[in-house]
Amino acid sequence: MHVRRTPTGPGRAVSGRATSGPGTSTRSRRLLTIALAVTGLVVALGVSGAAGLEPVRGAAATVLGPLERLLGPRDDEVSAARADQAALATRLAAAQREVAALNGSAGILETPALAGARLVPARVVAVGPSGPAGPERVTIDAGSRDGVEVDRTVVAADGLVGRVVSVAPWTSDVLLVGSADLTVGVRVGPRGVLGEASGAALAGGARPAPGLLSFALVDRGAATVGDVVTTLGSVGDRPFVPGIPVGAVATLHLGVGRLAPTGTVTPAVDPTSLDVVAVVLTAGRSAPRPAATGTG
Amino acid sequence: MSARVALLLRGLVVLVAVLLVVTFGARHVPVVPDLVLVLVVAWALLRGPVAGAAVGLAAGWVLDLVPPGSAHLGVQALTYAVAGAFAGRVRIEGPVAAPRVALVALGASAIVEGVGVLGALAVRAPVDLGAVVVQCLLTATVAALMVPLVVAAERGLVRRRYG
Repeated sequence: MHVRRTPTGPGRAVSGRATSGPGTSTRSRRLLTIALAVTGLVVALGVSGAAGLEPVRGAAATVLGPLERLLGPRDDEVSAARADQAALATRLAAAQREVAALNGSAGILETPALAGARLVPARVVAVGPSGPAGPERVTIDAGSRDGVEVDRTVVAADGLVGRVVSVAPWTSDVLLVGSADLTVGVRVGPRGVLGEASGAALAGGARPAPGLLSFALVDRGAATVGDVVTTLGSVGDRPFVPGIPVGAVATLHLGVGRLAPTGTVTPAVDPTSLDVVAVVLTAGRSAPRPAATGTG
Repeated sequence: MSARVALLLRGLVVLVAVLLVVTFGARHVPVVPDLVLVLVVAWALLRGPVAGAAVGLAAGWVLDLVPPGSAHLGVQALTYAVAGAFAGRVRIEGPVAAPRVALVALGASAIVEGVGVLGALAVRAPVDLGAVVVQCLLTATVAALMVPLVVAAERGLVRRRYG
C-alpha cells in the first residue's frame, strides 16, 4: 500500500525530514521493501524449518537476558520455599514411579537410570506477549552456565510446566504446557493408560476451552473424569521425564469420530501465576541394565 | 543532536517498552497493555504509512528477539509493520483528538491480536475472545493517554535537531 503514496512536502516538515528530497523518500521505501522481504524470508525459513535460527535468538538472549534478570522479580522466602517444594515433588514422582514399577511386576530390576535427579531452581523473569489463550513462552533466569540444556523438563511444585526450547548463557526460554506447539505423551489414571495431551486440538478431538488441554487416548482404554494425568517420559528423559503430574481429566467424549476416547485435561500448573520452577537434569543411563534369569 | 543519536534514543525507548511488557508478565499483571504498539501508532500518526511500517517492522523485531520472543522469528515484525502501515494510512494533518487516537490504536491492536487469533484457529488451539477484546480496549486507552506524550517528545527531538 505504501508504493502508491507520493512524497508530500508540508507534512514532512514536522517529521524532521524537511531537508530530504524525493530521492531519499524513494530510497527509504526501497529499504523498507527490502527489510519486509528479508523478514518474510526469515519467517518462511523459521516456519519451514529449513534453517536453524537459534544462533540469532541465542545472541539476542545473551545480550538481553541479563537485563531481564535484573528487572525480573527478586528472590524472597516464599520463592525459596516454593523451590524446595518443587524439588520434593519431583523426587516424590520418581520414588512413586519406582514403587509402582516394583509393585506392578515383581522382580523387574531396579533401574540404574533412577538415580536422584539433579534440579536447577529458577525464577520466571519474563513472560512473552500473551497468545489468544494465555502465555505460551516464558524466560527463566537459569542458562547454559547453570547446566540447563535444550529439551529439558521444567517442573513446578504442582507439576509439569513445559520444556526448554532455547538456551543462552544466563537465561533460557521455556515453551509452556498449553501452548499449541507442545504435545506431551501421558499416562492416565491408576492403570497408566497411554495417551497424549496438547494445547491445540488433537486429531478427532474438539477444540479445548481456554485454559484446558486437549487430550486423547492412544487406544481403547479406561479413563474416568478426575483421573490424574502424568507424563509418560521420553527416551533419555528428554524432553520429558516420566511421572510428573500434567493435570486431571476434566471431560471425556467417547466415539467422536475416533475409536479411542478424547477429552480435556485441567492443567496442574496455572501458567499465569508461574513463579519458581526447576529444570530437571537427569543424567542419561550409561550402565547397561543387568539381565535376569526367570525363576518360574 | 545528530540523527543517529535520535535514532538510538527511539530504539532505546522501544527496548524499554518491550522489557516492561515481558517483566510485567512475570510479576503476574493480568492484562498488560501493548506498549510497543502504542509507540508504533504514535510514530505512524506523526509520519505516515511508510515510516509507520518501518517503525513497526523494527519494533516487531525487537519483540521477536527479546527473550522469550515469539515461536517463529519475524512474525511479530511483519504483524507490527502492517499495524504501523494502517495507523500511518489513517493519519490526518494537524492536531489529532484523543478519541481518534484511541480508535486508530484499537484498529492497530485488532490487527495484531487478529493475527494471533487466526494463528490459533489455524492449529485449532483455544481462543479466549473476551481476553483479546479486553487487551485491545486497554491498549487503545493507554494509547489515547500516551501518544500525545510520545508526539511531544518527538517534536522536542526534532526541534533540538533543527532549531
